[in-house]
Amino acid sequence: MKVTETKPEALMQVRDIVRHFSGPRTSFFGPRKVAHAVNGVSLDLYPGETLGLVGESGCGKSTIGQLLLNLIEPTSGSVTFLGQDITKADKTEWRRLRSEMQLVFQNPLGALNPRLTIGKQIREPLDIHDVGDEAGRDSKVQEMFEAVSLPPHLLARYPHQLSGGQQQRVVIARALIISPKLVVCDESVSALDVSVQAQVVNLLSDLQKKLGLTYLFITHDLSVVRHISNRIAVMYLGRIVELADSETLLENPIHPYTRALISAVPVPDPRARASRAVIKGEPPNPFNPPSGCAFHARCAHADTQCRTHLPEFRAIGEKHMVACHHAEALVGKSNTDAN
Amino acid sequence: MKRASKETGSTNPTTPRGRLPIRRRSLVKRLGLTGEWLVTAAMIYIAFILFVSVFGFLFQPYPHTQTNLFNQLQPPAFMQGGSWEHILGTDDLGRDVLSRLIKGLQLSVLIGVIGTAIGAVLGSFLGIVAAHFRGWVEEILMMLVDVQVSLPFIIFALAVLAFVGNSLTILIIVVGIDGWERYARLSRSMVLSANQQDYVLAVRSLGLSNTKIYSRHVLPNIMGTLIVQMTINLPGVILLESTLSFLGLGVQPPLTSLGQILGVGRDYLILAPWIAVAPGLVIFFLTLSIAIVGDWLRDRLDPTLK
Repeated sequence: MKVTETKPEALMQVRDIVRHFSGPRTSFFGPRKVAHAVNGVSLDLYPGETLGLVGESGCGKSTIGQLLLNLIEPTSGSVTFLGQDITKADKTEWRRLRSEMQLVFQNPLGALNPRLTIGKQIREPLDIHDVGDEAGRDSKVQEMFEAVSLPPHLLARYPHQLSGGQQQRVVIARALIISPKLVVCDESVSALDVSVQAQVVNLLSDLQKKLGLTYLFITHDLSVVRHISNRIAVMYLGRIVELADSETLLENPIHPYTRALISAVPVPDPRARASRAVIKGEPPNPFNPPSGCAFHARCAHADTQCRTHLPEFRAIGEKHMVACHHAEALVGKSNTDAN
Repeated sequence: MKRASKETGSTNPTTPRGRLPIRRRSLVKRLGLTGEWLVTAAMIYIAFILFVSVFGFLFQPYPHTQTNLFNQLQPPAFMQGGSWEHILGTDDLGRDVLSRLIKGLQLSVLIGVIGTAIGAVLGSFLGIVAAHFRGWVEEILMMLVDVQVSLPFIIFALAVLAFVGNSLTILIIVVGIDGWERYARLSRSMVLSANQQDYVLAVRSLGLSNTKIYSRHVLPNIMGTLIVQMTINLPGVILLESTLSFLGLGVQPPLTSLGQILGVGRDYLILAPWIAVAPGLVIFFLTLSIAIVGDWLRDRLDPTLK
């Protein structure tokens, strides 16, 4: 299962990707404010793996998803897909590349055209990319519909006539019908009930095994991500602060932010409350990011170095990357010690 | 009737009782009517008007220009002094009012329908262009819209007709331009919000071309509103034509339209009210019927309400 251990060729390589959004002008003739939504992120996605990308609202995780699919253009940096730099790909190349990577949305009802039947919408990718003939497309739609375990009579229905879980299955079916290699799931289960969430997560991992898919699973929900991810990356204000195998990251987090996130997941044990690390304050404004380590203002371990110098994203132990000046000191130490 | 009770949603489990309706209640329902019979009546009336304007010449008792100076201002058949020779009476030149009404209706409906179509196509297209290109294209188009809104259209129409001269084609184009700014604003804002929808992003990320995104995904979703806007605008166009003809700048004799008959009838309002009342009633019921059907259509064209 751990594809990462065999060190295969990466499916997608992201190098130092940056995306700025311009905001309002500072004064009438002044320059525009710039939000650093994504500020130098590097990632590798290996075939068949699921990389979980977690972080709080506004940290840029959805922007990364859209950057990978080129739905928005990066300000700088490169994205390489199967050896090809896709940030430089032209229109015709993108038409082909579109079928290789797909997006599964957060709100399934919004992701479906209210005026087209389910069947027509699942079929649409085949029509767009001219896959097979008429009959072939119809049978492929049926097949896919079965694969996401939906009853065939729903094909003639409209999106609003389905439940949220069914709608999300339809969105998944539409994304997978052209057999993409990479699927970006942007908060794909966040809008669903917990029980339906579990069904959809299981469906996603079954389909991954069957079809050999690679997922980038973007979520703010750690309890979901631990079920599906092989590796987890934690983002804070446009940068990745920690990246490791799921177990390593969840059992032995190093970065203080990761520790706080993990301890915020509810544990059904009243005594566990005592050892919780609580993050102070609000997330910083991306138009005016703090100097040095972006997390220093809310970190219990912060010192002068943290306020002035950006920590390097470096390996601590095997396949465990952290961006923290105190990473070595924090290994093995519980989070509350410093308090 | 049966269907009406179903549609009000009392049996629909997805809309719990006591929840505030988000949509404005339709005119029909605000009038406290169950609606179905009124819509049916309005549709029958519209169908009748369309039939008369297309095939009316078959039943026209007299040519609409035939004068009879010995038979001026004869009352309709159901009034004292009337005769069945002229069911709706005659006007100041002894012309048969019914014949003129049929002829006038033909032209009014023609101008109304073509004029509305011109405004709808032009306005929606410009609105979509503005929303697609954004930037300076949008700025300029929306500036034109603001100019159009701030200018009383009737003044604009009078000016154009007075300077360019009058012909049926120019009249149709002028009344057609009326309302383009409403379509432009409407379609621009709807396309802007549709472009933010995930389903548009989804097909875009599938690599669908812009023309197909608009024709297959965006247009069908905004069409309902545009059609309703057309039904709101159509009576306005008919009334505008009537106003211009009433003022003498619209349809010129020997052609006639409802507004022109109305304008002539104004001079004899006390002496021979039937000349003005007949076209007035036709216009009144036509605009009302179109508005009722438009309201009903708005509900029917939304698949989430079926």
